[in-house]
Amino acid sequence: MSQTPRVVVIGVGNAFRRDDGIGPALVRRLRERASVRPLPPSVALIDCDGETGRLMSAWEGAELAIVVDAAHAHPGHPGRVHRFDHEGPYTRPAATSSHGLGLGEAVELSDALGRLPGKLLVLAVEGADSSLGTGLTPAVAATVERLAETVEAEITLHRDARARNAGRHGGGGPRPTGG
Amino acid sequence: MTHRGSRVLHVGSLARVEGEGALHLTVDGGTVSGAELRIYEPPRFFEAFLRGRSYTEPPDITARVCGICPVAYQMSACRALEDACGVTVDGQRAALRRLLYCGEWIESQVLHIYLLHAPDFLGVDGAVELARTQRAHVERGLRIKQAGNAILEQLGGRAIHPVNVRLGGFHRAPTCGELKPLAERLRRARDDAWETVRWVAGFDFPDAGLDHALLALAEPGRYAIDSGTPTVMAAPGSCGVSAGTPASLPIRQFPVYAFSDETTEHQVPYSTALQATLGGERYLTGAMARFAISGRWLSPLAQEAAREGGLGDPLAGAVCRNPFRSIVVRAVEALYAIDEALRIIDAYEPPDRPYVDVRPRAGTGHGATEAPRGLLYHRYTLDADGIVTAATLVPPTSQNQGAMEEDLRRLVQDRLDAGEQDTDAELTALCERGIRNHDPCISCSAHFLDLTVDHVRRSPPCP
Repeated sequence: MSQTPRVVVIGVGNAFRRDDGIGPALVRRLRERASVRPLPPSVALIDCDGETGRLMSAWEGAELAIVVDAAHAHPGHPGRVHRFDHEGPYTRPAATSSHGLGLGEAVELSDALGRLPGKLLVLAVEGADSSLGTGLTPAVAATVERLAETVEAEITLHRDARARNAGRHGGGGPRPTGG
Repeated sequence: MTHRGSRVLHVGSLARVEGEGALHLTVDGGTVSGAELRIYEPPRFFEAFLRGRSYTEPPDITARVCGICPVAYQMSACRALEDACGVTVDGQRAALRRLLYCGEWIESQVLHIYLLHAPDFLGVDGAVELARTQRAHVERGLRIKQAGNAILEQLGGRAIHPVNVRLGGFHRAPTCGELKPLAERLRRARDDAWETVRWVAGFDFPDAGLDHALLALAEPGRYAIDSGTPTVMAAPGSCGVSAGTPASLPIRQFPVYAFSDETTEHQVPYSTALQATLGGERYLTGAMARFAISGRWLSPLAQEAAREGGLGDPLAGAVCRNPFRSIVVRAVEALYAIDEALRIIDAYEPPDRPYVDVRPRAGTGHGATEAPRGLLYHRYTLDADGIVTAATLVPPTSQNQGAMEEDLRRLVQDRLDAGEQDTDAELTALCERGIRNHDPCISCSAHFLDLTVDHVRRSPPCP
C-alpha cells in the first residue's frame, strides 16, 4: 500500500464460527454499500483474524480506526452492541480474560510502542452461537445494516472534524472529500 | 485444588497460546497420573463442509481453517488436488509458491518467538510487558514480521487469506519489478533475524529431553517446506539412548500416499482434536523435527546461525531435543526463510503462464507440506466431474498432542522426583511453558473479545 489510509475499518472474526463472523460480514456489507455510494480513498476496509501483529499493522498510522468484533458477555444479550471509544493513553480494563493474544493485547502493545491510531473505536457485538458453521444468527444478522450506518456516520464525523480543523488552521490540510 | 496428596490442576484458558485450549493435570501422591490437553479443533467440520464442492474450492476454503497459517492449508490442498488430477506444478510457479510459504514462515515463527515464547525466558508476563521493558527487541520482531507479511501481501493479494493462489499455480504472476522492493526489506530483515538468533541463544534453558519419534518432510538438496517425503527419526528410547541426546538416530521414509496407513488418528474423550500415532507410537512434528531431519540442507548462513546459536553443526547431523531450545530452532528457521526468499527473488523469471491447467478426474490425491508448526496432510477424493466426495485434513497440532502431553507429564514428574515443593500455580506456569515450547496452533477457532462488562470502561450501548 503506497499511502497509509487515514481511516481503517477492521472486521475481526472467523466467518466459519457463525456469530464470530460479524466483523467480516460488516466489512462485506460496507463494500457492497460502497459500490453504490463510494467511500473516499482515504478509507480502507480490512478483514482480520484478530492476530495481534496484523491488527497493529492494520491500524498503525491511522487517524481513526474502527474495529468491529464479536463479544461474549455474561449474561449475554445476542445482538447487543457495545461501544468503546478510546483516545489518549490506554488503561487496561481491570478483569478482561483473554486466551492467547487478541484485541486487548494488541491495543496495549500498540500503546506501549506508541503505535495506537489517533482514535480507536471498538464496536463489539454480543453473539448467540460461536459453534462451527456459517451464517449469523438472526439477532446478530439484524445488527449488520445498523452497524454499517454507524460506521459510515463515524467516518463522516471524522471527515467533518478534520475539515473544520483544517479550516481553523488556514485550510492547509487535505481536502475533506475525495481523499 | 488439593485433596490429601492428590492434586488436580486445571487451566481453562491457556495464556499465550493461539486459540482455545485447556489443560488437565492429575497428580496422585508423587506420580503424575494424567496429563490431558484439550484442544478444540475444527478439521472435522471442514471435512464435512468440503464434501460436495468443486475440486477448485478447497484451497480457498481450507485457508480459512487457520488464520495463522492459511498458506500452509492452501499449499497442502493444492498439492493433494493436483496429485488427484495428475498434475505437477514446477519451475518458477513452484518457486513462487515456496516464496509465499517463506512469507508465512517468517511471520509465524517470529510471532511465536517474540510475542508468545520469549516472555517465558525473560521473567515478564507477556508481550506487553516485554514491549515496555525491552522495546527495541519487540520493535525488531515486528519489523521482521512485517517483512514476511509484505511477501504475503504481494503474492497473496490479501495477507490473511491469500486469494492469489489457484490450482496449477497463481491467478497472476508478479513481474520482477514487483518483487524487487521485497528484496530490500528482506535484506534488512535478514540482519534482524541474525540478531534474533543471538538474542534467544542467550536465554537460560532448563534441561529437558524429548523421547518421541520425529516426523518431517525431507527433500534432497533443500530444507523441505512446500514438498518432500515423510521421514521419521526414531525415538531415543527405542534406540536405548537418553531423551536429551543430540545424536542423529536412524531414519525411515514412506510415501505421502501411505500417510493414512502409517499414522492412526483416534479420538480421546476430552478433546475434539483427533490424536495421531505413528506405528502406535506418539511422535512430534514441527521445527525441532525439521531441524533434526533436514538441518544439513539449511543455507550456509542459517547453518552458521545454528552453530552460533548453540544448536551444534547441522552438517554433522546435530539434533536438538530440548523443547525449551525450540525458540532457537525457530529463530534459525526464520533466518533461513528470509535467506531462501531472497534466493528465490534473485533467481526469479516470470513463468510463461501463471498456472498450468488442472482438469478433474476421478481418484484420490495426497498432499503434505511443512506448516510452521509441522507437517500438514490433506487427502481428497474426487469423482469424474471434480466433485469432492471425501476430504481428510490432519493438522500438526493434533499430531503433536500426545507428545505434548507426555512432555508435560515428564516435566512435572521430574519436579516431583527432585522433591520440589511447587505450588499449584508454579506447576501450572511450568506446564504452560511446556505447551508453548511446541507452539500449538489451536487458533482455528473463534477469537472472541471476552467481555467482563462490569470492569470495562465504556460508553452506553448503541441504540
